[in-house]
Order: sequence, then structure tokens, then C-alpha cells
Amino acid sequence: MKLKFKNKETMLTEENDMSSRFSDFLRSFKKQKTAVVAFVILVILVFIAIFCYKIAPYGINEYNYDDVLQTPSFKHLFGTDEFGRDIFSRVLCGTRISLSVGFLTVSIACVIGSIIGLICGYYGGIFDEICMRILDAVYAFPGLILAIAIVAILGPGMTNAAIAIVVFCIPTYARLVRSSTLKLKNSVYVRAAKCLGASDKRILFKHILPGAIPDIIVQYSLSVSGSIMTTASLSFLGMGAMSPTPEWGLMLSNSRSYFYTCWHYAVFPGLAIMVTVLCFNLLGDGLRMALDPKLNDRS
Amino acid sequence: MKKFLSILLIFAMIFTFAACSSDDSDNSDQPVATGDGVAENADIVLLEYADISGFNPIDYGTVVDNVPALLIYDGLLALDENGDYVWMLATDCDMSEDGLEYTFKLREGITFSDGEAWNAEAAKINLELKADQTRGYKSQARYACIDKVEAVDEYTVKVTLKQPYAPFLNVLAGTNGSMMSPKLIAEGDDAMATKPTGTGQYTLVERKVGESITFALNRDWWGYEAGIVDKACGYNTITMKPISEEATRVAMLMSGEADIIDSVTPTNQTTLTNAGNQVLNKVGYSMGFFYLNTQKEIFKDVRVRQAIAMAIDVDALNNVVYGGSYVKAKSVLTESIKYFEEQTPFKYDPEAAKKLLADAGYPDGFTVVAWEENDTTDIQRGEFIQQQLEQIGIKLEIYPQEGGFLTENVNGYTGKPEDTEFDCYIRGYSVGTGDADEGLGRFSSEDFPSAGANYSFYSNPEYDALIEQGASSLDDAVRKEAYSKAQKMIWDDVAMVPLLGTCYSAAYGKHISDISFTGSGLIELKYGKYVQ
Repeated sequence: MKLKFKNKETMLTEENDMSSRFSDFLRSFKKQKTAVVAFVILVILVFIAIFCYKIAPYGINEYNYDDVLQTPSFKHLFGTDEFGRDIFSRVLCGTRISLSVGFLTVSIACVIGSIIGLICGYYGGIFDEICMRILDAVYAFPGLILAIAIVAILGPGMTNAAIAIVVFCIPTYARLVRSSTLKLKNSVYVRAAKCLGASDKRILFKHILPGAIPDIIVQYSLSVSGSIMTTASLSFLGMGAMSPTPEWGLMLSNSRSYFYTCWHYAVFPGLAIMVTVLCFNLLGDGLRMALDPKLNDRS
Repeated sequence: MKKFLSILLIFAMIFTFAACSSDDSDNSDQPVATGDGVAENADIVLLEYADISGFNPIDYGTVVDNVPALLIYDGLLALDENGDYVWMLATDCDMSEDGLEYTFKLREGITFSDGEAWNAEAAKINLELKADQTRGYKSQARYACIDKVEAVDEYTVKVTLKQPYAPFLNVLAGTNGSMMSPKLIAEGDDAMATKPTGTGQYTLVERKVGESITFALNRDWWGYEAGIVDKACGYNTITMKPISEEATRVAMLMSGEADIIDSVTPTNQTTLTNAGNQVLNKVGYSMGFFYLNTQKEIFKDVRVRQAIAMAIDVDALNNVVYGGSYVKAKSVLTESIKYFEEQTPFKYDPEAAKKLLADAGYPDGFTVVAWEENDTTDIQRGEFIQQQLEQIGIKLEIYPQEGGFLTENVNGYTGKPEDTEFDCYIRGYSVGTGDADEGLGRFSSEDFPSAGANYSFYSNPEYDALIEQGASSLDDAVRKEAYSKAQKMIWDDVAMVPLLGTCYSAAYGKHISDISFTGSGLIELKYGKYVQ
């Protein structure tokens, strides 16, 4: 009877601990006003991305050759492009492309990178050496240059641009997770788990990985913005999305020839990129402040 | 008092320096005329929309490739703005009654920039090189007619043709008629492609691939003596840079970084003239085409090709992409080319086009690959065609590529015609000779790439016979009839969709004058001046 009671108590405290840790995080995140605003905007953007084709007043490829390069009006909120397409609708639908490429590439890179980091950090040895040196070599190239090189080999197109982004994102996560692993693998609780006979898999994913998660979350948010930026850059350079995809970078690229005459054409896709990237960066900063015990006062 | 003096001194020094520096800048901005020749610092920057693929004047693929030849080389003769002959390295030509023998009198006392003498022997070496079809150069197909070349005396050369070939002089007047130094020819292909040596108004200083090409004025050019141009014509140096981005070209001209820019759309022309620049527009021998590889299974059926022609609204293309400045194609040839004959236009009718496609067995359309150049307006043109074809269910996958690279891939294609990586090819073509034989003859089955410019791989024995007939006859009426039939045949067969006749456009600063366009769309700088 006594024993049972004790068990219940520990369970309660454990639950309490988890929920209190989350509410701690929430409390300190709420203090980051800009990050909260960025988060709200991002939620709206995700909604737009999901329902863009329903919200958009015109089709993305609905051209009207009598209405080309119109300045913003009530009929066309952001004006029209050189083929008379509604820029507002195209910018809205571009959200889906940019966000999905951003999230997808970074998620894949995050999973692959984390696994490499865990294995390298935990087992060490020659495998670790080889892996990390290869990743160092990849890491040595500036992201965009590496992406251009990969696209040049694979050929232009959205899929290949995404592959390129995944490749240059992997080293960041691998390094990050590896360093956490190195730090945690000799900690008391990991050694205790080992003594209790836990399998390597269990130790890695149940005990070490959760310790690295705060770092991963912060990096994730920052990488998504980088990934969106790189996608737009590649499309701008003609190596990513192909026309007539309403990709922001591509729209920006098309607008260049009307630079002197039609201000609105370049401004709105540019603004869309700016807002999205800025929000992810601010969110990332806010998360870091909230998650890092050294940076915020938890009392 | 001491303090006052020292302040005065400082002011005096500042003013002196200021005065000096403003003097300096004035000096460097204003070209100084030396006598009545070209100013020592009349240096200009010319922006083209693509880089060249090489300097060999008979191995050229694109329009831009011809620009250096115009500066560095002279031919036996040239065409002026109106298409009349201007005698250059030759002074006269006698043609025999049967049209088989051409005897050229050469201009005396001319040397190549490497010191070699221009004489009958040099002419012979050049003409024999052009005639040698085993070389595989991209623009030598028109010289296949030459049977033999003889040097009669030091300054007389006789060319004998295999059969009469009416446009022969026009062919020689094109940039591929350029005369190279015999020493250069002896050095081989690599030398011809990299270090051009001619008798022209300019010599090559250096080429940085993809970046710039610099030419320096040849002040001893024979043309000044012979009165081809007056002494004030020309520029001390010309730097030619490939900038594929129109907005960048416009910005560079606005900021004074460039002096002449090629290819400017009407909207930007207004911006530039408002800022005090000048513009130049001319409709010439060039036209944009949507080539369909007729050897591909999908384009073998003429109904499919007709459907495509009916689905593209060429007038709208003109308005949307070119601000209405281009001219709708009325035949495969542009109107200024002799023997042009207007054809019945295809009526823009997507519904009828859809029906035709369904009849041909493609009710749901199909997907094809198209190649084009990555120039700004070319990309827009491609996108427009893509939109139009989508209406009838044809999906166009477009791959824009860098000009020189594209030329290399398409003009240099040596594989089987039905195995090309592209199904369609969207590009302009300039009829350099201004003759129907080139404009129509390039669609004969002998002109498949890499030998010629039949990008549609159109093969029709009847058509070949008409071209043969037109080229070999000296009778105007016979030529007219042959070319008239050929134009109708290829138009009705839709080997390609002729889109719009190009309106060449350029813009240049206030200080440039007397530049013009040749019929084939090259900026002619020979008569250009630097105004102070």
C-alpha cells in the first residue's frame, strides 16, 4: 500500500515537472514580444499557404493581355504583371511553394543531420572522423554557392533546388547534435541508463536526443528562413522554379526588366520574401532566448 | 596675426587643390582631338545581350558572333544600309555570261595586321577554305558552289562555280565572307577561333571569356585612305561586354558605364530618351521562329503543326512582349528580302486548333521540350507561347540557356535528327546575306545542323528541288517563281511557326553619333563618331 502511494507520487511529480517546464518556456517566450508577433504572422502565413487557391481572387495563370502591368487598384490589389496576371493572387499562392519547400527541406536535413550527429558523437572513432571531415568539407562552401554547384550538376528545377538545400543544411544539424551528444554521453543519467542495460537505440533517442532538442528547434527556425531565401535566390538566378510557377524569387527575377517603369511588380514579391524570412529569424531569436537558461532569467 | 595667416594659407591650399582636381577631371572626360583623326581617348563600351562563341568568321552561329568580324575583318565587298554593294578588298568584279566565272580585281597596297600582304594568293587561300566543306564550319554551306579559285596575277583572282549561283556576291558580302590572314589560316582552327587577324578598322586587344572583348582602332586602316569612311570616324577602343539582362544594360547606360547598348524594349526606350539618350530602331532581315523538329514522331503529322500555328496569337505576342514594335510574320522571309511573297496568315483560333489536335490523335494534348536563349525578352516570348499552347493542352517545358552554349548545342548537333534533346526551338534567325536563297535555302535537307540552320529538320525533296532551281538560275523570273512556290510550300507545311520580324533596337549616349544597323541586325560602328 505504501509502495503504491509512493509510485503515484513520483508519477505526479514527473508530470508536474514536464508541464511546468513547458509553462516555464511559454512564460519566457511570451516575454519576447517581437517573437510572438512573428509567430502570429507565421501562423497566418501557414493558413494562407493551405487555403491560397481558395482565397486568391484570380487564377495564378489567368492572363489578360489587355490589362498588362497595371498599377495596384481595387481590381488588382498588387497590380498585374507583364502578361496581365494578378500579382496578389500569385504572391498568395507563392506562399505555399516557399513555405512547403522551406519546411520540407529543413525537416529532411534535420532528421538526416541529427541521426548522423548522434551516431558520430556517441560511437566516435574512425567513422566519426570520416563523417565529420566530409561534412566539414561541405560546410566550408557558402550555402548558395554549393546549391548553385549542385543544381548545375543535377539541372535546374524545383526538386533539384530542394535537394541542393537539403545537402547544405545537413552539416549544421550534424555538428549541433554531435556536440550535444558528446556533452551528454558521459552524464550521470546516461551512464545510469547504460548500467540498467538500456539498448544504444534507447539511450540515443530517449535520453540523449531530447537534450539536444532545444538547440535543434532554434536552428530549425533559422534554417527555414535560410532555405526560403536560397530557394528564392536560385529561382531568381533561373536555377530553381520554372515559369509559370508563381515562385517569389522567379517573380522578382521577371520584374527586373520593368524596374524603371513598374515599381509594384518588384515590390510585392520582394516584400513577401522579406516578411517571411524576417518572421522566421525573429521567431528563432525569440526561441533561443526562451530556451537557453543562460540567456534568460527563469526565476 | 600668425593664426590668421595660417588659416589663410590653408584656405589658399584647399582652393588650389580643388581647382587642380576639377581641371584634371575635365581633361579626362573630354576627348582630345588629334588633328582631324579619332580622339585619343574616345573609348567606348558596347553592351551586347550575349557572348560570342568564337572569332572564326565562317564558324558563326548567332547574330552577336558577327559583331567582332564586322570590326576586325573586311570582305571583298559589303552591303550598305540599303542593300547595295560597297567594294571593300576588291574594287570590281566581272561576271561571265553563263554566271560561272567571277573575276575580282583586288585593292592594292593593303596588309593584314600581322604584316601579311593582301593579294590574289591570300584571297585564294581564304576562298578555298570557305569552299572546303569537309571542315564542318557552321556558316560555310553557302560556299559549296565554288568549284575552283585561281590567282590570275598578283591582284586578280578568278572564282569558278560548279553551277550558276545568283546570290554569290551577296554571300561574299556577309560577315562570313571575311578575309583572314593566310598565316592565321595556316595555324589552324584554334588560332582562327581565338586570335582573329584581318585587314579591318580594329584589331583585337584581348578577350576575357564571358566578360569582355576589347578592340583597338587601327589608325593605319586602308579605309581612311580609300575614302570608305572619313578620318573622324571610329573609336580609340571599343570594349564589348555580354550582359544578358536588359535592365542591367539600361542601368549601365543611364549611369554612363556604357555608351551603346543593344536590344532595348519600347518601355525602356522611353525611359532612356527622357534621360537624354538616343535610340535606334530598324526592321531588317531577322525574324523569330518557333521551330518544330519535324523528324520527331509527335510533329510528323502536319495537323499537329497547323494546330500549333493556329494556337499562337502573334499580334498579342507583339503587344505583350515587344510593345507592338515588331512586325507580324507574313512569310518565312521578312518583307525587305527580295522575292518575299505574302502568305495566307493562320487565323488565331484555339478551338479549331484543339479539334485539329484531336483529329490527329491527341485530344488530351502532350508535353514537349523547348529550348531558347536566356535573354530577358526571349524568356518572356517563351512564356507567352507556353501560355498559348496550354490552351490547347500542349505542355511546353522550356529550358532557357546561355546564348553561346545554346548555339554550340543546337548548331553543333551531329546526332540523328529524331534524337535531339529538344522538340522545339525558339530563336531568331538573321538572314545575313539578305537573299532569299539563305532565308529559304536553310530549310533544305542538306542544311541540317551541324551543316546549316535547318533547326526544324525539314526534309522535303520537292522543296529541295525548288531551292536548287532558284539558286542556280540567273533569270529573275525563274528565281521569283521558284522562291514563290517554296515560300508557299514551307508555310503551308508549317515546318516552323514564323512569329515576328525583329525590330532591332539600340540605345546610345548623347556623345555617340552616326551608328546604324546592318540589315542582319549588327550595330555598324564603322561610320560612328564621338561627339564632344
